Amino acid sequence: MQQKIEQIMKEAEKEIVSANNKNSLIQINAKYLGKNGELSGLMRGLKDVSNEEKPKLGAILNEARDRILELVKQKETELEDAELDEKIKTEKVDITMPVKPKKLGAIHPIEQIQRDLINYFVSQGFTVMDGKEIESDYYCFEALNVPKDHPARDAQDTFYFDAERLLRVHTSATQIRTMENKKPPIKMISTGRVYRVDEVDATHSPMFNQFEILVVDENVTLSDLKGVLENLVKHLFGEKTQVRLRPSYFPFTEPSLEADATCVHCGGKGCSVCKQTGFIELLGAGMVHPNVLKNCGIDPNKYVGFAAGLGLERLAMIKYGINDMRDLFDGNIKFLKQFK
Amino acid sequence: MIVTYKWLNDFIDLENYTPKQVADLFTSIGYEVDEMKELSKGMERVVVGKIEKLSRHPNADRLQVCEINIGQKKPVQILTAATNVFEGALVPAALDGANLPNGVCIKTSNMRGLESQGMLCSGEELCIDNSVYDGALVDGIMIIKEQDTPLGTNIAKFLGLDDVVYDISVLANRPDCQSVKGLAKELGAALNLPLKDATFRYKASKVDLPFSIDVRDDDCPYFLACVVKDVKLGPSPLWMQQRLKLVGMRPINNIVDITNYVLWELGQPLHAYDYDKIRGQTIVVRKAAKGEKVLALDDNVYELDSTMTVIADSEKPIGLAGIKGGAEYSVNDKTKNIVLESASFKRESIRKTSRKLGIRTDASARYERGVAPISCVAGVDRALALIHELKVGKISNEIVSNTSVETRGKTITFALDYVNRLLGIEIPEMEIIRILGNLGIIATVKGKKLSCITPPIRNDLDGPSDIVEELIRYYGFDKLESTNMQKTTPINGGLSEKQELKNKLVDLMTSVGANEVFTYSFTSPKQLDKLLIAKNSVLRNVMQISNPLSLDYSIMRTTITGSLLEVISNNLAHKNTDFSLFEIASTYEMPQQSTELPIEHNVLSFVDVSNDADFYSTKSIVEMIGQSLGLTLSYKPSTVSYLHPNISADIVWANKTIGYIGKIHPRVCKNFDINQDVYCFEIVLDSIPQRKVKKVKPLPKFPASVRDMAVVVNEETKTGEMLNAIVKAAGQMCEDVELFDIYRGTPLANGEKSVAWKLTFRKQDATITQQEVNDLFDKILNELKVKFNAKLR
Repeated sequence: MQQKIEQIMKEAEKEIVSANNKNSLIQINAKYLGKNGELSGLMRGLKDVSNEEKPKLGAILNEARDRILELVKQKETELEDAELDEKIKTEKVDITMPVKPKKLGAIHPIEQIQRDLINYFVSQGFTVMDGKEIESDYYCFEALNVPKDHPARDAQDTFYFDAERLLRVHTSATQIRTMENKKPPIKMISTGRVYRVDEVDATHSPMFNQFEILVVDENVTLSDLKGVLENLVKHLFGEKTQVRLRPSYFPFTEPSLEADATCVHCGGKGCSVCKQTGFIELLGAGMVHPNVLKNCGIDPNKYVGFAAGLGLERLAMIKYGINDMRDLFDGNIKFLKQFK
Repeated sequence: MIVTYKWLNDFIDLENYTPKQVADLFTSIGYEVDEMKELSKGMERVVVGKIEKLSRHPNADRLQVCEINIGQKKPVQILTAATNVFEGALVPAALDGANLPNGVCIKTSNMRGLESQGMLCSGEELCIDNSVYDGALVDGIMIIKEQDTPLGTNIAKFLGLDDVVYDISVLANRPDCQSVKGLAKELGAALNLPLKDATFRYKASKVDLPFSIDVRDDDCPYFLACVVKDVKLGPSPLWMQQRLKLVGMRPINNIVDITNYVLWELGQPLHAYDYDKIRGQTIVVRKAAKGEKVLALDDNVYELDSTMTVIADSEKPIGLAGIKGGAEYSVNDKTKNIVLESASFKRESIRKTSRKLGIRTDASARYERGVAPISCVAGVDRALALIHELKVGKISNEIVSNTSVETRGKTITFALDYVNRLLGIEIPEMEIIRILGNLGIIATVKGKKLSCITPPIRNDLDGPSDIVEELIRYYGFDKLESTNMQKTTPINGGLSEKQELKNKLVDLMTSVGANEVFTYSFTSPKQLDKLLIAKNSVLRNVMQISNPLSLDYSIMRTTITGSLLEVISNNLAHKNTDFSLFEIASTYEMPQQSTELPIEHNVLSFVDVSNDADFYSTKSIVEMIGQSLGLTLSYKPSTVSYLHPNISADIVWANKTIGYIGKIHPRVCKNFDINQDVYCFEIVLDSIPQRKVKKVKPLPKFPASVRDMAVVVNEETKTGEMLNAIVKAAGQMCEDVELFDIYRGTPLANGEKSVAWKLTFRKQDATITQQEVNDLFDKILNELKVKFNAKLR
């Protein structure tokens, strides 16, 4: 019987090796291990074997069966691999084929600049505050120390609904709302739409966006403001950009100043963008006027602060080389798509 | 404010500073120089010459040979083609090397065998016109009429153009610097230079003309007047005319020119009235009577109201206070005697009157910004000194005024330490005293206190921070350190909820292909009509701007969809197609009370004209937003006027309508000139709560069982309602229900559709059995049969 088994195994191995598809493997499997298979027949014949030989022969038979199973499995994997390789060979793409990309919308340039500034300041401990666009005379002017006869209050500069309600001319109104609700230390930023009576042209718009910065604390100085502005300008236009501070006047800050950056186009040498001055006007800023602090119930003897406000359209125009402010509000798709 | 280098030099010695240095200095102390014009540029080598001899060119018919005396030993020979020249004429001669204002370079050259050592110039070649020199625009060479002009005089000097003109922005809080002297003073402070002595002297005597004033109006805190007898009216001297022209004023006659000159030099508006026209020999400053009229110098009749201040005689107004004089009382050829007014009026009063009447003058502009009473005295002194100097008339020794002028300034005292506290740097005590002293602020240090007495003209100096501003302005911003808030309290920053939501939605909307736009928050009432919004709709409850740029920008929008439709329309007009847009901005809801501020809704609006857009693609974006914000949304039929009545829905969350979705009504598309289908949605984001952190559900331990169920229902059956019925019938064990196919056509009858659902069942605590799945399947099917008359397909 042992001989017989060896004989069968030899044949089986030969057949398995030469099998060239899955079907013949199945047949081979059946031929030897199936119900009427040759090995199965021998298994059944075990009962006629003497008790002495039974364990030994049994073990040999089991071993033979396992061996066949293993060989079949091995061959099967081999055949599958070959089949897959064959299939892969036939699967091809033209990687240079032009395709229509999945639609991606563009974020508006003003939004991009807002986000950039927000991220920049939030990482330095500033909190974003929301403001109102339709404001009262008090928040937009009076609390900000803008005197009743100040030209900014004129109907030639400000859109009014009635004597009390108006479209805010600056985001500085949010300073007041913030300081009324929050006691120092304050580090706040606010951004949004502001409105001024300006005809629409290439450099003016009756609606534009501002970004407001306010810090109120016990120890904050004009030197801090200078440092913050210098870092901001470097963040916006690169490490080499220089800042020039010029004295200015805003009713809500004292001292007041305007900050210019060296022209990003010519590096300060003078070109048509900076009108040969080498500088680009960027923002207005200053130390919060003691009257403003007082109006918000903050003790100006204990606390000082600085504030700054910058126009985002102007920034966008410089940054992206936009020549006409109207492009920012017209929504021409050919313009917008460039900001993906 | 326009000033010239030479005029500034009258008050401060600028010899050691170039015009450019002066310009930079102005900028550094807060006076931005908008423009600097060197008027003599190009005229450096152009002189006044006399044509001594004139002869024909032997080889050229059209050329004449001029022998020009330019005040030097040897005459120069210049050839010209001009025909208006003659022997003895004084002409501008451009010499070899001249680089003319019009860009032409002059070189000695040979013209048909004769040397020409320069060129005779026309006014055009010098870039001047008749306003600079009468006769400059004559055809041919400019002929200089003033025969006594020294030969060789530089032409710029002759024309009064040997000067530099600055256009300077003067900040709103510095009315005292709306004058040559005021700006000279600031320069002096920056350069540490004293002002030149400028005491105005004149002789006055008794003139025997009775005159009095009566100031009855509080809006005129100071009024001062003086009579000048026997005035000799005529042109003012050339130097005065030239200066006035350089700063943009037209010379008229000596009296008017003097008042204008003083206005410009000292910032004090003056007015001269014809004394003999003033009834009652008295000037009354009072409020106008309602309906009172005045014929002003501009020949317009203005009807006044009782808020306006007038200068009147005993009967009628003779001028609008601080704005314009009356025509009948102005100085003219027949004037014999004048009254000179120098006054101070309140800013707001002048501003209001000027706006109401629509007149703005050099005088009103200065009063609007503020004229200190003390300046009235200097102004009248200066004018009288000029009248004396130019021998225009006999000055009365009686200057009448309504009150005396405050000559003391304010005292501001504060802790010296405040300077350092505000600036973050120390300024040495000596520097503080010096800088303030240069500005006319008398500063003394006592112990730790700084005490400052301000000059009375500086109304802007009010408190310690104003003094600190003056200090840093002149000490220099460049001397500040650059620190970065190291001494502030460290605090954590963060976004507002609104900002966070906006960031999320902008990312989400762009990821589905929509482009963000920023459109104006105000719109036209016509847009509401175009949107078919009913007359009684709440969307018509708009905040109306009382002074809009135009009707197109006159109301605050109550929906953004309209603005986006305008953008679509513009794009289609530019042949831009296949796109979608969104905007996140405010809409404005009129408050109940007219004293309240409106409610500003935070709104996301979307429109789609993509080629593949339809209701369902739009809805899928809304659902995506719902998922992103953690909102379960439902939909109910909408009545929004600008949406297609059958292809539209209100978006409902937590039993509240928070927006709408749908196809734009074809009629509305037509109104906006849009010839394509537009799909849109708009969601009000106000009430949406911030998404809370959710704890995760454990992953399922037991397998799910999936079954498909296709049922045939009537076409009208709403799939959303079927879904609700399925979910309700299925209960806890139903994990997911998905609509995967809708089929119409054979073998189904007309008006029928087959709706196929994929149902996923699972138990949390055991493997779900076939029996359980079958039971659930039957239960669901039964529910659909009962509710929708559904048949299993």
